[in-house]
Amino acid sequence: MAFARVFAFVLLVLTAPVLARADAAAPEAFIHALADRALGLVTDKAADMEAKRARFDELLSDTFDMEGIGRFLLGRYWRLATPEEREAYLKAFKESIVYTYTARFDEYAGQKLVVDGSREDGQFTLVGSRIVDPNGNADVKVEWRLIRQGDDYRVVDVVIEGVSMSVTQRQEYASVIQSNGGEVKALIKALNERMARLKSSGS
Amino acid sequence: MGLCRMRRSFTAAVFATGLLAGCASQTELEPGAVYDPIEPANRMVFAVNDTVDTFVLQPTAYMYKEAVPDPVRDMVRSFLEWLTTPVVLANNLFQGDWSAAGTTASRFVANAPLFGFVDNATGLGLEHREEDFGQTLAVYGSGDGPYIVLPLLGPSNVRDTVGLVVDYFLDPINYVGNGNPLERDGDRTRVQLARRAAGAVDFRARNFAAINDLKQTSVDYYARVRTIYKQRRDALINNGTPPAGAGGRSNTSEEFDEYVPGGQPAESAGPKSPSS
Repeated sequence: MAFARVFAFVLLVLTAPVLARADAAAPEAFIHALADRALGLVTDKAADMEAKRARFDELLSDTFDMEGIGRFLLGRYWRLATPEEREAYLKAFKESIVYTYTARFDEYAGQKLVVDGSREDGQFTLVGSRIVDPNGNADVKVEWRLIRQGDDYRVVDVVIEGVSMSVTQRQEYASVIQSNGGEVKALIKALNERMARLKSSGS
Repeated sequence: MGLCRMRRSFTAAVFATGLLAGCASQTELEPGAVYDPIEPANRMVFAVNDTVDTFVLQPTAYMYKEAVPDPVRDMVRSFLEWLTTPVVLANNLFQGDWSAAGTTASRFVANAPLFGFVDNATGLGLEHREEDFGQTLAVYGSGDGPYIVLPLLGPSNVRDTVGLVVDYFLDPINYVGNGNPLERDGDRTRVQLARRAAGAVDFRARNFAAINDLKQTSVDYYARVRTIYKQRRDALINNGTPPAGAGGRSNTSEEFDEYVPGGQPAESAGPKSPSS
């Protein structure tokens, strides 16, 4: 029943500093660099929220396969969507990610990310890591699913204590579309409405 | 009397598990989807639970979190966890997991001098791991069965509901003193209720911001909780390691089989059409 606790940490994952290892192999080094960059952003007291959102947006574009993830989340409904719907959906999806994650930046409390190693899984590389809490709470296991892109990697999924963020979103989106007669439009509308709600509640 | 009822519940458990095995192949679900044939009823119970959360549990947890100092809350949590030892140990043994049973027993002894209020065991490398009869059934090959939202208790499925009932009867607290475990009144019932309520408040307080966030940021809170429940249970059943024979694959690998990276033509990306 501890699944909810796990969700708090997805936000912290991106914000955790790193215990650097000189001999780190490529996928491990990629995660180290990602965490370092995210931490620099989270702990930057000088930047205002607007600037942080812009920089986080950039970080996502550089390190996550946002287009592939967006497509994956729609699953079989991607094919049914018109080009305009796809564009509107990808925009709404990315905006909601940026907004929800940056809103939680101030919850960071000194956690560190320890990278344990990596293994191959088909076209993907899985990197295992742990969030170590300085306040003595149990470690939280975080697994990263990466895909090769040229000489570099892109994140496809983050799995926290067995709960995959991409699979969770995909199931949620599918439910919204299914209960609205298979219309992708309904999901875009729901995403935009939620966005407006979050913005008006002001965080 | 108590024994007779206990035997009956075991029979029910075995029977239900047989049904589950039969159910497993009956529906074709997409990878990662949750079998939820009674979704409308589940959504209603879920809405009621959510209302109870908003008006009762959340305010109580908030006061508890704000009024009670951290170290005291840690003690409450350790004690509640310590009380679950007999049930966890029984399930370690049912699963034939001797090393986990050893850890559970050692934890119990290490924390016994202070009646579980202080958790020294974790510091000694004896980490707590949740086990229950639902997981035991899964280890013996039972499928999840249909998803069920239980009043007040929240997300579950047929297998885990059977597990809850069996765990209830496995708990020695139910056999202390006179009477049988199903007795309506009496101190034992009060102790059980107090313990469940304390457990709920403790859980809600520890995950206060996370659960609020889960609610606020979802477009379909019900569907989000449903998939998280399934994934989390699968992870607990596998004890955090991929199933045997899975190679380097993880729990969710199957879902990604059709993944098409960004930058490739969108038309070739479309997974199977919905008519299939």
